[in-house]
Amino acid sequence: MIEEQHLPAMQGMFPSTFSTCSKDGEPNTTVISQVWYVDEEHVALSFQFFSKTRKNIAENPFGYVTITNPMTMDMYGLDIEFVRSETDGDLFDDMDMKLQAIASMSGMEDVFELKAADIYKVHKVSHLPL
Amino acid sequence: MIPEITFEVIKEGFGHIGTASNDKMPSHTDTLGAVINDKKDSITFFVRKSLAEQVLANLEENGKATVFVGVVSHEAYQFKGEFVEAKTLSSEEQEVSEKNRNQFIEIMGGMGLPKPAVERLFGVEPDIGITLKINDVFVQTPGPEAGKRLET
Repeated sequence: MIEEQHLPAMQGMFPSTFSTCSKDGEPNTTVISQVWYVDEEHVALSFQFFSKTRKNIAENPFGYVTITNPMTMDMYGLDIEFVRSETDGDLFDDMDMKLQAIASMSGMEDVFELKAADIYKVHKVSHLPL
Repeated sequence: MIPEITFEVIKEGFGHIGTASNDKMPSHTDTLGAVINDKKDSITFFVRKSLAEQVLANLEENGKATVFVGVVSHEAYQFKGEFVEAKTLSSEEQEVSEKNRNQFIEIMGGMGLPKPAVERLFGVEPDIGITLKINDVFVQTPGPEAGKRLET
């Protein structure tokens, strides 16, 4: 599912866009700093403060996230489904450290806070035709 | 009425139109500029049709849309609305898009991204405008105001 060619788009150098949908069919779209590779079938997204996204995912676990290779601008769309949240462990610590680095570079130290590492199953990866 | 405080972000920002199918599967596409209509109650977002096929299908099916638009400073807004139409762009709208896209290329070049790569996305003209009637606007700037609904 997730292959070597997708990994440069998951380094956090280019923001990702994440869309969800409520049980009433109302979409919501936000920008997240990084999509993390977990394994060939799973990714992790940082849960910081996007409450509408979290509400939607609680109602409807399906989401769509796009990732971009910053060196080529190759874009990939991932159809994903929420599996679980992690609030400790190696993945959480790695994500927290990276988020703090991003926050520091953008002057958002007091705003960015990792509440959880949300794990999603990847159902499909599409290469978007530029 | 779309709040005036959002106008600059709409004109200068990076945008993403989010939609959902009737079976509640979301999809989105990037925008390449936008114009606010004269009545200040709707916005036409410029997109590339080849990247927006699912978004257009969802809009025809469900009609609900959301657009996240933000600028480099992190100021951002979420616009919730209804699909009005998809149309070809006028020469004036293409001019607006070209100005936006050149600005995006400059910003991303300044971030150290290779210009030829950035031009693959932002160097290409949009070929369709998606017009949405805006019903609600929310602050999306990270911080304590995030999620606050603005008066429309």
